Parts: sequence; C-alpha cells; structure tokens
Amino acid sequence: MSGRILRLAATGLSCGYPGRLVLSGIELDLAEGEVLALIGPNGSGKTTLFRTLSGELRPLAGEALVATQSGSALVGAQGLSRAARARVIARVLQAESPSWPSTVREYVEAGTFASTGWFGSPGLAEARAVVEAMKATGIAELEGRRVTELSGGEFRLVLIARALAQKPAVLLLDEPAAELDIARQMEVLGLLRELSGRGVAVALSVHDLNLAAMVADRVALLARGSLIAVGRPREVITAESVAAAYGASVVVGDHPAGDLPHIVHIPDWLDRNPPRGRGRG
Amino acid sequence: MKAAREARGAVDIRRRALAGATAAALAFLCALVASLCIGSSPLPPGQVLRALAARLLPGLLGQGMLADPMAVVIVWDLRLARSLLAGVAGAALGSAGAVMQGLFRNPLADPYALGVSSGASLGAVAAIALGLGSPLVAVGATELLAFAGALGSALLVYTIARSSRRQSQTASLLLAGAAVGSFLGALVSLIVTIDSRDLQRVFFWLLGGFGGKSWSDLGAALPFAALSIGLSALLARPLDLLGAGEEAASSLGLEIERTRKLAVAASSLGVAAAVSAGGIIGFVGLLGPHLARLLVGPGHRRLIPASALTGAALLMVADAIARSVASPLELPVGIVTALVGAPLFLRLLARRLPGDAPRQAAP
Repeated sequence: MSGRILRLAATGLSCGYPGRLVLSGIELDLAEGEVLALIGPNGSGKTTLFRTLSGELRPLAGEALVATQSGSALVGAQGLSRAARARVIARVLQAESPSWPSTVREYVEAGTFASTGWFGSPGLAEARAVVEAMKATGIAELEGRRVTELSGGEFRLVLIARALAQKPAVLLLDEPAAELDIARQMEVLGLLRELSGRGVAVALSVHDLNLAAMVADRVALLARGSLIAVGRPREVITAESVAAAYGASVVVGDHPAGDLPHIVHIPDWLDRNPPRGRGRG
Repeated sequence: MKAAREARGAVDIRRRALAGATAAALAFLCALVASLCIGSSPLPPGQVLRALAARLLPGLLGQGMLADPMAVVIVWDLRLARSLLAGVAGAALGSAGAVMQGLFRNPLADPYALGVSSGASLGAVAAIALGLGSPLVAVGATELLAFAGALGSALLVYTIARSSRRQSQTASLLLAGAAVGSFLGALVSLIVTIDSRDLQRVFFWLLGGFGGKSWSDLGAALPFAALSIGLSALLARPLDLLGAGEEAASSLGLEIERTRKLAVAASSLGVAAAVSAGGIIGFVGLLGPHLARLLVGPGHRRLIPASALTGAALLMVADAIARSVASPLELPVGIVTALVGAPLFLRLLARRLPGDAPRQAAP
C-alpha cells in the first residue's frame, strides 16, 4: 500500500491497567481515508486499545503514536495535551450516561470544547460544525429534545454527532452499530465510508462480523491478548480464524453484492434443539 | 413540518431558560425587599423602597415622596447589612452547591460534601472554647478560625484524595470528605464535651444565624463570596462536559484534574465565606441549585448564576423568618432553612420533570 498517510500507529504496544496486562506486542497503523474494524471476543481488549491509541491510557510498553497534522511526524499521544488530542482524535464511547437532562444540541455542542477552550463560547464556525454534525447523523430534528429522554439508538447517534462536531482527523468508535436498528446501522456505516472518503481515518470496534466485513478496508482480529491477524476482510474473517478466536463454528460464504465474506452461524445446538417447526435442512 | 416544530422546540427551551433567569432575578429582588419589610416593626414595601432610595439616590424623590426618617434608620442601619450578608452567604452556598453537584454528577451533593462544615465548626468552636481574640479589627476570632478551618479541611480532603490510588479520584474526594468530616465533627464534640462553658454560643453558631451582623461583616464576606462565584462561573463549560462522565469529558479535551482542583477551590472559598458569616446553614446549597435547575435548565452557564440568586433569595427569606417569627427571641436560621427547605425539597422531588428520569438502557 503506497501513498498511505499514517495518522495513528502502534509499535510494540502493550496496553492494560496497573497490574493487568490486556494486550501486548501490538503492531498496527491507521491511515487517512481508511476504515479499520477491530473485531474479537468480549474482553479481548478492543476498548483498551482505543483508550491507549487515543492517549487516554498510558502504554505499558511500546508506543502509541499520532500525527497531529496531515503528513506530519508521528508523536506519542500521551505527550499531547488533552485539548490537542481532542482536536485530532474523536472517540465515541461504548456507553455513556448523561447526568443532566441537557438538550441534544447542548450535548453535541460539547464536541466544540477543544476548539473553543475554557473561556471561549462556541462561535459561528462551531455552530456550523454542530448543525452539520446533527444533519450528517440524521438527528437535526431531535435538536431540542432532552438527552435523557432518547432511545438507546437515538442517543448513540447523538454521541456520533458530538464526535463529528470535533471535526476530527481520526475517529475511533466503540460499537457504533450497537442499539441501532438495521436501517440506521447501514446509515451509520455509510456515514463512516463517506467520512473516510473525505480523508478521515476511521477505526471502529464491532461485534457483528458481517458489518465489519461490509464497512472495513482492513480488519484487525484481537484475541487472547494479542493481535492475531490484520488484513483485508476476506483474509482475516475465515471459518478457521473465527473458530480459533471465538470458539464458534461458522461458514464463510460470499455476500450477494460482491467480493465480501459473509458469515453464517451453524451452532451445534441447531440440530440438537431446533426451533419448533424447523425441518431438517 | 416536523423539523420546523422541533426547531421551535429548541427556541422554546431557550426562551423558557431566559424567562427562568428573569424569574430567579425577580425572586432575589423580592426576597431582599421582603426581608427588609419583615421585622419587629414591620414596614410596608413602598416605605422600604423610599427608604432605600433616600440614601442611594438622594434628591431624586419629590417632596411628597420623602421617606420616613425612622424607616431610613431601620432599613439602612438595622436590616440592610444583615439581609445582604444573608444574601451573600446564600449566593455563595447556592453556587457552591451547583459546582459540587456538577463535579460529583449527583443532585444530592451539597456544598458541605467535602467535610468543609466540620472544619469550619472546629475552627469556630476552638475559638469560642479558647476565648480567643482576633488580630483583625473588622472580623471576630470565631469567624476567622471558621474560615481557616473550612479552607484547611477542604485542602486536607483534596490532598488525601489526590494521593489515593483508586481509579476515580472524584469518588475518592467524596469518600475522603465523609471521613474527614466525621473525624473533625468528633473533635468538635470532644471540645464541647470537655469545655461546656459557652455551650449556648457554640450551639447557636453550629445552627447558623446572622444576629448582630453589620456592614463590616458584609465587607469581610463579600470579596470571598464574589471570588468563589466568579471562579464557579468559569467552570460552567467544564462542568457541562463532566455531565457526560469523566472519560467522555477527557476525550472531548477537558483536563479533569484541573477542573476538579478549581471546583474544590471555588466551592470551599464560597462555603468558607458563608460559614464564617453565618455558621453552618444547611439545605440552602442543596435546594438553591434544584430550584435554579427548574427555572433555567441544567446547563451550568445559566445554572451557576441562577443558583447564586435562588440561594440568596432563600437565605434572606429564611433569615427574615428566623428573626421575626418568635420575636423578640431569635431562632437559629439553620432551623428555619431545614424546617422550610426540607418539605419544599420533597415537593420538588415529587414533581418529576420531563427528561428527569435517569436514562434507561434500550430493551
């Protein structure tokens, strides 16, 4: 892959918490205009990796590097101030519980904090970023609603909108498709492809391997404390790798729309204990 | 058009917040005038306003509008300084309460959450028990040591929490506040048990009151209260961000530690000013922000000034009741704030706001 402009890189990265090593020996990078999907079983370290890559968590060993400008040299994410980090990297957390019944607009406006700082208040550019972010995520009409009143899926879109209001060069999303209905899942994944088309470096963690295969340029599979495989979806998502990482038995076929892997579960209980009315296939 | 309706909804919310801010300001002014009317010789509001104008804007009033000289003396020399002092203490408690609730993301937090009240009590009780004189002319030893005790205990709690290895230092702050608070509270009880000569004075100080306060007390409390409210106002946007949780706020670019430090400094300065002015007065710092949230919504840019206004209004009214309801006997104001505040608070709790319910996970 030539001409990739790197935005994030992990070299020899070990991450985790005091007294608890979660991942080690991670070699991974993320370029502008690329969508990377992190897959792996529960507890395999996807969120911990995001925390470390974004500089929130100190690496236990190795380095988590970020380029603050397009094409600039990679520097340690930990060395940057929080505001400098937030101007480059935006995160969508897996879960968040708002303490106060703020409006959706107020909540999305928080995304402009890194560009205005403590004393500034959002100006015209920030207001435009907020409106654009709400439009892009399809929540413009929720503007005046209270965040505490929203459904889980609507709130997820608010979190994505807030991250977009940061105008990030790197977008890290923890389970952005969770809690969304199937139509909105496709809208959000489409939005991620669109952002990558505009040069944003996107990484997302996702449990649904079919969604990962559909949206990602590259897939990284985490399991048992390390990065097992990284590459094109076709190369990484195979019956063997899924069995090895998850201990689940699947068949990997083709997506009807083209050259994408499509997995179908074949659990052993389906024969033993089939739903009523199911004929034997 | 659904979009148009929703956009109107947002405008409505803004308009309602503006109306709420106006209501808070009006409540403050009405409470001030009412507290000047109420007393052993009640004055009608018109008389009070004329008496205020007589010294504020002399020469402005026409011949037929002249204030009663007696009313001028009552308002300016007997009631105004005390009312304003209650107002300043209430404002400091209200905004400190809003800051603590924002920092701890908890509507139950109050300005004494860091154990500051016990530190102040220890200072005051020590001054009373030792019969200390004050090095300053304008401020008594009790007030001075209460102020020092409040700031000292806040600093102690902050230092302990800072050195803890727990994951959330904000939670440590709350826990250390509770522990230091009860430790210092026990010291207070110990001193009172050993030396019970001035029990009455100690008792009155611990329940709060503004009896016998004058312009010099106001002059001593005002700068610290103003500084505290000013610092709190700087915290508005950081506290808004903290509402999303520490990890989210941090990913949005907020320095959590700096926010925590400033919040502790701002609130303990205000509480120190309030307790040294009027003793330990409960409930104002809890009720003020709740009333303000009803009026202007949860955004801290409006909430902090509004909490200062509602806190001031509450305490001025409570003080007026305390000095007049059983006249000539004066009740400790802390008794009034709790007796009036608690039922009012319970009423607020029963009234559920739209969107007030904690966010539920989707099924």
